[in-house]
Amino acid sequence: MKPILKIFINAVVAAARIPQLGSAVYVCNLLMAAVIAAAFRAFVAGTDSVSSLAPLFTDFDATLASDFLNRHGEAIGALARAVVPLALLSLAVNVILTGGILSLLSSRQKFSLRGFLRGCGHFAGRFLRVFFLVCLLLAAVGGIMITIFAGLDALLSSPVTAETRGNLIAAIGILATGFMLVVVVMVGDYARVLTVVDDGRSMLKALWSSFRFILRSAAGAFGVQYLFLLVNIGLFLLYLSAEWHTGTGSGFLLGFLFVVQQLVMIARAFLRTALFAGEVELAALSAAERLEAVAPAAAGT
Amino acid sequence: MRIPLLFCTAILGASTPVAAQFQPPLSDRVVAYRIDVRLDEKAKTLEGEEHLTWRNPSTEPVGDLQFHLYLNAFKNTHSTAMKESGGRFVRDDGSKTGGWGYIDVTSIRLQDGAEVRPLANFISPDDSNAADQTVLHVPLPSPVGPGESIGMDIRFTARLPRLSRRTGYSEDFFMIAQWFPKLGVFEPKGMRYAARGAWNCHQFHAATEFYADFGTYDVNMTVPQGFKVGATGVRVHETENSNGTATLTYRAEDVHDFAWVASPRLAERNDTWRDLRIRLLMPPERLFQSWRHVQCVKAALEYMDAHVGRYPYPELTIVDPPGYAAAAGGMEYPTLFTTVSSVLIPEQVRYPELATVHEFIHQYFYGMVASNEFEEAWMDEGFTAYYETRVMDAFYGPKTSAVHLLGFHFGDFEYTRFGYTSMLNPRMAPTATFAWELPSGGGSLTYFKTATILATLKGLIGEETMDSVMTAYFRRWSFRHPCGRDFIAVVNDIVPKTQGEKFGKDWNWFFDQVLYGTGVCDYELSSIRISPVEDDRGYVESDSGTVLRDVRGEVHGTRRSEVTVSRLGEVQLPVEVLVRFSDGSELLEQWDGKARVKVFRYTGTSTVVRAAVDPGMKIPLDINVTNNVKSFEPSTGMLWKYFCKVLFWLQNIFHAAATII
Repeated sequence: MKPILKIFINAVVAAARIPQLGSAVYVCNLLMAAVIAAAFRAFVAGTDSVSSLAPLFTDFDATLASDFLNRHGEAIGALARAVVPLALLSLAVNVILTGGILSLLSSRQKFSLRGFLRGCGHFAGRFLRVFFLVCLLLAAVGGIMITIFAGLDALLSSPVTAETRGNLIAAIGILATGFMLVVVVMVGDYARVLTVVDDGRSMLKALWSSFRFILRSAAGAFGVQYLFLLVNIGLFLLYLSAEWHTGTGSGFLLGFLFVVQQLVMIARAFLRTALFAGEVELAALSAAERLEAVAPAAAGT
Repeated sequence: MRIPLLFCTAILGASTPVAAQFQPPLSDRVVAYRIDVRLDEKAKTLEGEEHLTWRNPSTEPVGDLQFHLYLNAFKNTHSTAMKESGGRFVRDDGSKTGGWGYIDVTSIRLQDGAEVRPLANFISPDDSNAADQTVLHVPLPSPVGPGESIGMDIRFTARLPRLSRRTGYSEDFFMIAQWFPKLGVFEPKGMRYAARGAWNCHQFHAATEFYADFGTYDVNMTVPQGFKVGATGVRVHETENSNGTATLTYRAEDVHDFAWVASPRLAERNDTWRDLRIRLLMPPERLFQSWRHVQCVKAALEYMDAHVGRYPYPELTIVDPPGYAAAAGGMEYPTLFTTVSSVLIPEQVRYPELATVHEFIHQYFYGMVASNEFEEAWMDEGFTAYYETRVMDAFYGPKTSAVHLLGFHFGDFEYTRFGYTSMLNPRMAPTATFAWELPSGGGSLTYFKTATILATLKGLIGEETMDSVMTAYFRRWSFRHPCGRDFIAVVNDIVPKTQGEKFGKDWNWFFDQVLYGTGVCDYELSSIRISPVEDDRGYVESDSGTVLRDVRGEVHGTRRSEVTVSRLGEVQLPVEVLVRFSDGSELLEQWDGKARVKVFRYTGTSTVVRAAVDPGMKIPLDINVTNNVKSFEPSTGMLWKYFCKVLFWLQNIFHAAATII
């Protein structure tokens, strides 16, 4: 088993070698978000409040913001509700894009739009099925974990100890539930990887194989997953720090912050692609190790 | 039964076990209570004997007494409080004992030995609900003459309700408030503009608080040993009894109520401010954040001392009830109050501080300036909310005093004003409405609108004059019972002295609109119009006499600017309009704010580029400040800033969702 760090580096290199994949993820999300953001901007610009709201440029002002929401809350609410269908559309597009990304990464071919789109189309139906199954699994696992920890809380805690033992149980519950949900996400990820490698048709089987694969390669699978998770969190904290220290006191600073924001999003899109590359590499390595283990035995017979 | 005042004082003095705290007394001390009470922590009951002395403060004989029996509000579904709350007044846990509570007065024996309990009957002065038992009317065999006193011994038993509406028990925590037979206030003719002397003794309503006379309290509380007790006043004695109980004696002077807390699960932290002892009782797991309460209460003490007046009592007890007794949180009693917190609230979310400061300020507006909370709740809650925002904003910053977390922030006054401006119907009722007659949601008028009214008054008359008003109000009315008109009289007295009559001879016009009226205040900068200035036409005078000039033309380089300001609401307040011209100059216009529309016109080479109504935010009552500015100057920075913010966070949401699934 290669060290996790090596897999991580290889994955980043692989993603960087085909920048079109990360770009596709980035552009897709950018376009969806831009629709709402532009509509929001146009709405605010069209109200008679726009002159009064100018001080919001330098700092947040709760009085202005609350009065604006009092007057225009319904319209803002309608805009916010429009995020839901767009988020669903974005999810669906991301699921479809995953087919193209994984097929190119696993075949180690150079990027071609045709090949990418073929991959997208070829796996679209199957990946959408994985998507729905993962949604169900997430809901089920989440529900079970909440039930378990609510039961533990009822058993071990009382109103008198709610703030001590109760909070501790809740904290452990949140961590454990988070861990289990990450496992489900990984099962979904590797199910897609294995589907691309084997060109399998049964998604239930793919999920089961994926689960077994994760159990078999737990160290590598969790290592890669959490390393990418840590890098993502680190990136986000870096951004928050940059935002706090930069502020938006001038047009230049705002422009600078916009560039930083988009660099962060580009990095996140590439990390997403790199995670797929890491998962593909881990799956390939595991398959090779299994072949090596089986071959001598076969030669022996 | 009548006892001359001197005799009565002598009796009381003899029975008082400790030296007086205040000499001379701070208040008129109309009542004196001496109570022995025993808490049965298992049965959740109180057994009490109360010796009460009442002095008739009026100039007319009084032939009856009226007592509050607040715990009967929790007695059954027929109580007025229960009906008003839609049955949510009691937390019924479904067990046999349920969450119900009551108080039963078994005997009222006058000092001459006459038993008057059989003569007593329940009355319902507010709603004629014959089933409500929260006011007990006791006819006396003979009236109490003016200035005379009457003494009596009262026996009572009470069952505490499950903790609800800030009184009762939860597990091993006991919040014992409004627990003993307490006299109403006999208001002599003229007091609070009363046309004749009468008892003011309202029923316990779901949405009202309390009103009682100042006096002294000597209370012996017997509780199980190991219970930590906090109470109104000062502990003067403590005895451990052989039966596993302890008796604690508290004395309180110049207060109008007595409440106490008892629980074995309370930790204690003590601190001092000047010569005041601050006692903090809280669950042990929260001790690590006790500094938050101490820090902010010291800030409030300092601020109120400098801006309103002195806190005169020797002790202040702060109780932070545990989570399972959270219903006891956020309530004020003389020299004792309960706050609200949790181990999970981070330092940057200042809700515990806000609650502590609010309840402490009630020591002034409720505790010392004892307005009638039933009839004029705005006078205690609104004044308290106003000073809460002043203390919080002064100590933690005006834009960060409520929340300052991860770059998001808002101040306490901003939050308070939002409580008013976000009301579904801010015109629902006058602020000065009897609290139990306010429609649902009317609490926002009591708390938030009143605070905003006072902030607007401060904006108009200036902070220095406002402080003069409030110190005068506190000086004149502490340890008394003012009404709204008394406060307005102080404003009418002080403001013209410092500000002249630029706002008129008095401020009745202001309070009539904002306090007794239902209108809202909304000024709008409606438009800025720039137009060319045309040459004179028609028969015009010139050097060569009157000539006919009839050619259209413009005066070169000269423009006319028109700034239109509108009053959209009903409330009329004097307002400033700041006008900025293209050459950078500014002009601050004054407008009396009375007309529906006011147009300011300017002619010159420089044109108006920006105009703002109330640029200094002196009128926070203006319900919408986002229509206060018009500008020709580009201000797209804010639009782009929020475009970027919305874009970035949506990208993150979409990306995170795609990553998870």
